[in-house]
Amino acid sequence: MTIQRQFILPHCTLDLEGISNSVSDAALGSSLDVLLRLACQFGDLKQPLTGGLDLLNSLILATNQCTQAWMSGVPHRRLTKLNQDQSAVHLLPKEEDGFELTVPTSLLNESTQYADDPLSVHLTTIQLFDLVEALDQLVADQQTLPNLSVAVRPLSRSEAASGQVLQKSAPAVLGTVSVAIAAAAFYFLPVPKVSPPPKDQPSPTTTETPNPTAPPLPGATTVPSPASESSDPSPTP
Amino acid sequence: MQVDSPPEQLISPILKSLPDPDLPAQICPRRALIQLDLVLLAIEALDLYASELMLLSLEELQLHEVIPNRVEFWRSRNANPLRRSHQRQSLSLDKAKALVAVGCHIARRQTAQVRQLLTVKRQLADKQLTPDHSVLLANYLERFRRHFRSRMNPNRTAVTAYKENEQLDELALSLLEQVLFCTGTAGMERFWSSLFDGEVA
Repeated sequence: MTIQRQFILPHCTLDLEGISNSVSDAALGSSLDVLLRLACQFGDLKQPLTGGLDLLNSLILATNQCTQAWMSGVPHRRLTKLNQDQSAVHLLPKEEDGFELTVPTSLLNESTQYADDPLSVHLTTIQLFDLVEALDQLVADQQTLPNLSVAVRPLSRSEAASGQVLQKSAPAVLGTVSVAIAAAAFYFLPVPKVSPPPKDQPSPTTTETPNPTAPPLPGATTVPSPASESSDPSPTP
Repeated sequence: MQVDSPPEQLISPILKSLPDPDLPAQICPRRALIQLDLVLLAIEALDLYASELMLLSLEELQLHEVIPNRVEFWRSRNANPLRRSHQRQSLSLDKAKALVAVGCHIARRQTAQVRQLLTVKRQLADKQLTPDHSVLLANYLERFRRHFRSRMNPNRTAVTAYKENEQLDELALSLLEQVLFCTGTAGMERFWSSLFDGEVA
């Protein structure tokens, strides 16, 4: 006997069909342990998406990651378009307003009704909230898929998208680059020529008066001139 | 029989339910302080009595051991570095948990109002009209602007970015959307975790 569970919010409806592991439980209709079919209707979908546990798990992961990243303003590395896994559901905030949910057709039961391209759904903030809330209520319900869980935890530094890291390290990078550019500019500047100081040459008009008391320079040889000796007024014996 | 051991301190289940993030110093980082206070400011702009209700909720949620009175509540809010009355004091994780809990508690009471405001905002945007065309939305935005300008330090660079009404209205509407997500079943856990995104090891 199949068990049916329904989670209804204003802009989202989840229908689950499954069976219980225990026969007695199934008779009481208490616990849905094995999911057979999931149908979810939200946003502007004309007909509900149908799938299995893979679709449900992928929806829970994508909505949880995107919602938390959107609340904090710190995107998850896996949420950037370059790092998308093509076999999983993706939810990204749009630049103008709202969100875009992309569901690969491989996760859908009736994939023939869609083209090979992934199904894309636009969601407003309230529509996304209702989808997240319906999934949270499903996870919190201990009588429906009790093994289902969602890891709500802060993103580590390594999980945060590189843009955030770059933003934080921007001042240091900018400083280093500025120093490098300044160093390169100074390298190409011409080295200023050192002009030798003008030599202090005696001008021909000036008369040099020798200082008799000044000691002779070491190594310098003085040759006495006979004229100077002869002009000495008091020669010593 | 006389019992010598001191009575066991009653710890609120909320403090146990929110995990301690792996932070180098067990205090809130700057972004968390700002974000937490701004969300509470948006809740206060939705309801004039929200501040009083938050104080009452501290008792109701058994959090009065962490934030015992109005003064301590005010001091905890002023840990936001953008506040005029900020005195460089840090905020412990337990106090931050208490603020998150009371904020989400009051936000749940305002769920219908938040949904209505966001629906009106969407309808006006579809008609390419500004939010001022709705009395409800205009009242919320006007109260938020008044709260923000009276409490935040205009000399801070982050505050000068909201000098014009348009920029401040954009912030108020963005916070209104965040308040909606705080009202959900896992809203409190998600809001708490989002405060430390990119900060933990």
